[in-house]
Amino acid sequence: MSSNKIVLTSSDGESFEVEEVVARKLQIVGHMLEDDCVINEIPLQNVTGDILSMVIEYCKTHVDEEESEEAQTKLKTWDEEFMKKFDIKTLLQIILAANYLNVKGLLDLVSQTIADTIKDYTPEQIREVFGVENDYTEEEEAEVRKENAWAFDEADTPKP
Amino acid sequence: MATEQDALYKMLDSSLLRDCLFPSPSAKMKQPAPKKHTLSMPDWSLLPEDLLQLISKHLEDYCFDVVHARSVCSSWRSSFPFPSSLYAQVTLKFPRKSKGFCTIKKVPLFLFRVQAPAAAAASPSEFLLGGINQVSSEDRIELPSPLQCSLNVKIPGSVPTLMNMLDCQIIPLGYQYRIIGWDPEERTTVFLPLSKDGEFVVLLNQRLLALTSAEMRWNFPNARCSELVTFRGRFYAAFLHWGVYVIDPCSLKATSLMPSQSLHSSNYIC
Repeated sequence: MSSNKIVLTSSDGESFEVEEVVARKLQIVGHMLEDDCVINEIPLQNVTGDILSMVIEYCKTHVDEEESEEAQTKLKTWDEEFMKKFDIKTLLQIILAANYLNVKGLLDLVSQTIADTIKDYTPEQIREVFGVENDYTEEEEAEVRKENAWAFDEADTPKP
Repeated sequence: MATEQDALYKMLDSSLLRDCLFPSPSAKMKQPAPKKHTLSMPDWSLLPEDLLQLISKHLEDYCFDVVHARSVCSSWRSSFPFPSSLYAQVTLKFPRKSKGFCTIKKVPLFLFRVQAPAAAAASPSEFLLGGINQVSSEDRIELPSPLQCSLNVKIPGSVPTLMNMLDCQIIPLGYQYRIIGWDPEERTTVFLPLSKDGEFVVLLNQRLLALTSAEMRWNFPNARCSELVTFRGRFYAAFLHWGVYVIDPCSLKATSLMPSQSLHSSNYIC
């Protein structure tokens, strides 16, 4: 079974020949194979070739997930290095692709990476980096402003 | 202040993007992230809600980062729930010693340190323990950058200053309970839930007072207690002259924790 090759084709016509066991990491492909086991070429409409190649790279690395602590640590390090390669715009493409192709591990990894990026940014910086428009009405913005004003009161703890 | 600087660089280092956008000394040591895959401009505001929620789950422990994310746009606001750890809750109402009622307020408690180098120079790396609360409308000051989280820092003995939340290191420590409507209010209040159905026990220090939700009246065990804390579901009380006792919340039975000895300071545990 595992020696079977599957050809995945991206929306821009790029083809990737992968082992069936790797292709099955994409759950969307897994379901197709269950429905009709004679498919060996699968077109994937919502993902471009450059993003699909990244997803395949992830799946190849994660194809046999060993339980051992050593293997897990090695994978974790690989994941971190893998994520460092991408800018935020590419991360968006990957999270959308991981969602569409249904690759759970990658979806978790990318959402964690994006969350880490959000940390330590002001709302204005987040908008700039993520290219999001401020769509608040004046009233809504007043509400946001209210939520963002905080005060720190030192506790009445006696100093030793 | 080497540690201060290190911490700051570490924070900046954690994000390559920040290096590109806001050049800092650390950016010199590291090249900006190479943009390997240039694609048509994606629109983050169109990110499906379920994906935004997935991202928000990873931010649950960083309450003020969630508040920032909520300020970005309306779809982010609906996907990132307001952090429950920031709610100051007025929990319960109970009888006072004499007449009327008092309430217990559950206040989130934080360790707080100024992280910006300029401000840190003024107050060297000192941690302050206290509550962070939303500013009430009367106290509101016009903020320099309205959508940014700001912190009005009121430390006894210095002028209140308005700080950018990102220049602070804020470590959530859980909750502190305060009794409201008791005279005087400065009594240490400790609270433990007894069951999931809302049963609880409350102790007050000084002349020790105990109240259980089952009885709803105060008991006076006739002991002077200087300090009270809760730890892993039990009360710990320091009594003058008697030492430290552990008090079981169900039976309210006190067991000596250590042989009686004079404590050097009444702030031995705090």
